[in-house]
Amino acid sequence: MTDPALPDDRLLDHEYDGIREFDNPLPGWWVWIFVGSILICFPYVMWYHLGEGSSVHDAYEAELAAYAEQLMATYGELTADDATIRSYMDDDIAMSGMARLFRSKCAQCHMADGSGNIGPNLTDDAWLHVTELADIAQVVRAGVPDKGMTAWEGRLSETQIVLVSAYVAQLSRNPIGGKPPQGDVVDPWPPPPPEQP
Amino acid sequence: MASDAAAPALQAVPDTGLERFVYDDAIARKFALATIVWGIVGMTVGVLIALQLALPWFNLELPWLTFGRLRPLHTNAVIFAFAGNAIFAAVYYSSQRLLKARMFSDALSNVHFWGWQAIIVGAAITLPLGITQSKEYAELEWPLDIAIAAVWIVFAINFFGTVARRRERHLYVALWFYIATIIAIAVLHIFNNLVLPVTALKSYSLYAGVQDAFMQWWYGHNAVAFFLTTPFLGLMYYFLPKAANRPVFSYKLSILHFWSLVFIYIWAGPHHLHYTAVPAWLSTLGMLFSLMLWMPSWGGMINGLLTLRGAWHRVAEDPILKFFVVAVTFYGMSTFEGPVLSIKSVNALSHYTDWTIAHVHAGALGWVGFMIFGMLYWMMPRLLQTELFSRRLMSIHFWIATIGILLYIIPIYAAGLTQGLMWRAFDASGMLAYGDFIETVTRLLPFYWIRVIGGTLYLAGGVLALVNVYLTWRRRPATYAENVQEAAPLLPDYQDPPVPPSRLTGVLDFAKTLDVLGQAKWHRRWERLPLRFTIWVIIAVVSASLFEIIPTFIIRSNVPTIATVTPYTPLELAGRDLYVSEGCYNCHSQMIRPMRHETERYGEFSKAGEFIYDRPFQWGSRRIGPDLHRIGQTNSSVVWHVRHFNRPTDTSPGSIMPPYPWLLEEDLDFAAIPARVRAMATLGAPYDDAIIENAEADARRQAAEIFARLVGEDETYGDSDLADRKVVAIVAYLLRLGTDITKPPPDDTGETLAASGGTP
Repeated sequence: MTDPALPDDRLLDHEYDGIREFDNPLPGWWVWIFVGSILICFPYVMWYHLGEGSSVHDAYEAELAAYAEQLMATYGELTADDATIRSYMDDDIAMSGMARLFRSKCAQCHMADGSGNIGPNLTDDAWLHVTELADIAQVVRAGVPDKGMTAWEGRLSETQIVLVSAYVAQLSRNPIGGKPPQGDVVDPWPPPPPEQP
Repeated sequence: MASDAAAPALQAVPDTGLERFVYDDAIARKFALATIVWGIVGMTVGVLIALQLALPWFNLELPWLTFGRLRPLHTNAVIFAFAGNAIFAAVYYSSQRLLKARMFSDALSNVHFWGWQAIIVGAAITLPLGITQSKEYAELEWPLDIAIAAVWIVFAINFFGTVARRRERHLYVALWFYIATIIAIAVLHIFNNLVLPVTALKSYSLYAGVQDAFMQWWYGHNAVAFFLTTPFLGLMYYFLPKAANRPVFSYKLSILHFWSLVFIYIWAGPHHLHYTAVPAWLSTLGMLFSLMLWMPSWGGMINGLLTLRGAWHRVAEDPILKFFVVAVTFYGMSTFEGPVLSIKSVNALSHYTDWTIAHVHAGALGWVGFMIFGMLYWMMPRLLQTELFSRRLMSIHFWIATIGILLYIIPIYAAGLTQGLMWRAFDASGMLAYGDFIETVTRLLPFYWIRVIGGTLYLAGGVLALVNVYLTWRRRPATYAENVQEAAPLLPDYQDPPVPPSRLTGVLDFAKTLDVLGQAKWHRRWERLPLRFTIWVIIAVVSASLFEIIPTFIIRSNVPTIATVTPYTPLELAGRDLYVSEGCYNCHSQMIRPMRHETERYGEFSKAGEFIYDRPFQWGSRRIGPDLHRIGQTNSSVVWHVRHFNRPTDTSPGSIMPPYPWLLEEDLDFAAIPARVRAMATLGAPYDDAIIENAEADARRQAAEIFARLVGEDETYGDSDLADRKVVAIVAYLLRLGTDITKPPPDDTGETLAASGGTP
């Protein structure tokens, strides 16, 4: 330990297998950050557990409410009748959002492009359990338990069910080979309602 | 009890009153060699599973080589085999010298060594076979757990026996850290692994759901603390000043950061469970104590780096010091990042992503790995009593391993951030921007390839170390010299030096008292009283644990009851055991957090009351695949599950999940089911005698129902004989998962999957 570059601090008199220790004080910044990290606990607990700070669940409720409000402001409360579903089939903004919803929920069985895999091809004009637009919403809502189709009621709002039904309905405008048609061919969907001024 | 070899030398030298003795370096050599060999094994498995994520083909469609079974093998091998053997090498080498005494018993040393290697071999056999408790870093089943506890006790006896026979009156700081390691690991290991054995190789946790999750992360976090931190700080305090030939920067800092670390670390575990179904107060404690842990951790970093004051020119020349400097720097970075990640809102982004993986690898490859290699390169020539074969190879190892670390962690940090941000992204209409989970995985594949390169470089460095040590070993002398030491025995009538009066003047007496306390002479006294010191460590560890454990177990409101939650049917239970055995939890969580992007993607967030029959809990910690807690609500197709298990890309193009064709080929062991149901009943699940007695028949009935559904959905399965196969059980479990919460309130008994049809 006779190194010329050895710092000139006070050494303690003990020694272990040649290892010695300096009697240096605790670095000031170390002490104060440590004290600060202890002190910060009190206001944190006061605010988030005893005061007004929002809990995890409050924050989540607020997030849900904001989305519900957005949905309401955009679409109001929709009912799943033929006319309502038909009216959204040409709403590009709504349909681009539903393309995403379709990918996240429906694509697992119907594939992302709707061409069918476990579930039927949704891009042809043959349908199972469906003769008119409102039937699509009913299949989405209640599922087809015998055939493995999941019931989405309670997990999608009624407004979302209307919109995704419209998305499914308009898929047949661009038929994709995919899974061969299943079920019966149904009449083309009705024409769009007259333009609202 | 002392070694026979050392016994003749143990006579007092008449003239001087000195005793003569020899250190047992053979045991340190054994552990050091095992460290390198197991390190290479563990890292090779790591590179393989990294390849599997980049290219699922590397699962090779062999059950025992799938990611879900090998990932626990990787973590256990690098933690308990690589780091574990390194810890023991360090403890056996340094403790003898710091205590001026040969190990208490050579026999115990060897029982420890061979026992530990046998446990590692046991792990390497059982984990690929799917024999697992599925609790992270505590996967080994109960017989191996008992063996670990026994070997640990042997280690403790040997260590404390040596302490009792020491010829150095005061314990050096490295030994404090070894004591903390021995005590805390014993407590953590025993209490996290309390199980009810069902068979010789299967058990159920004594804890369920929320409580099991809490115990696991109390253990999991403190395994990091007391297996990957305290022993390595201990070895840093020995090997770094030795290698640098410098005094330690500050004795007082050692005292304060040791005690604060030991006391505060224990509390921090619940930060692994932010936003889950654990009570909010627990989550807050986990976060706040993690923040408090920042400076106690940095105390170790400061003492390490500032010990090198005035020796930095030597770091430029000496690869050993380079390893130590990079290690301590990574320790500082990881222990800053840890508190940051424990902040709830940061954790909301990082949890379940590769960010955590990058964080642990910065700590594991940088801190733990480089401390180990620095230590080995310093110690091996001394143990082998010759020069290191090649300093140049050692230097090359340093550089390629450093580049390897960077190529590992940088892309994986990027992967973690990318995926975390993709998961939470909404489009303008409030829809998930990346609703298809696989999109958020395929985006990561380039990063995964870079990780493979980084991991391979790090492994290559390990191989260089092995070559270098082997060639050094070949240069060893024909017989090792026995270096006889001399030291005086400790005399019983020791008086502590008088406490010097305060140097302060012109202040209140109170300030003078504080000043005297600040001299830490009281601590100096503890350092020569190992029993008292150890008792204080036990008090610190146990009291901090009990402050969290007792409320978690006794406050009923922590787990609000949900009336519709019922135990699994016998078939579902068998399916759940398969899920556990295949290690599905390594990639799939079962814990949906209360955030809209999660509930939009996976369904209603998870409630504490839903997990009361989950032994062990399966919340997971990383989503390489999607959360599965509500899979029973969001995918009710039997055909989908069967085809997906057989070949995941069949239903999910781009999936990196390995195929599980054997689930469709192997028969389910229906006869084993009643014992499992009975065990769950013993643990409190409300199965009555009739259910237990008819468990096998009931499982067969439900299997037939699932099979009928399968054929109903797709008649081409009519000719198959899947009704008796494992897949039926695991599908039954998945169809049940997360569905209880939306069932109508109970009005009839024995509600089964059949009664509810799998969908609400």
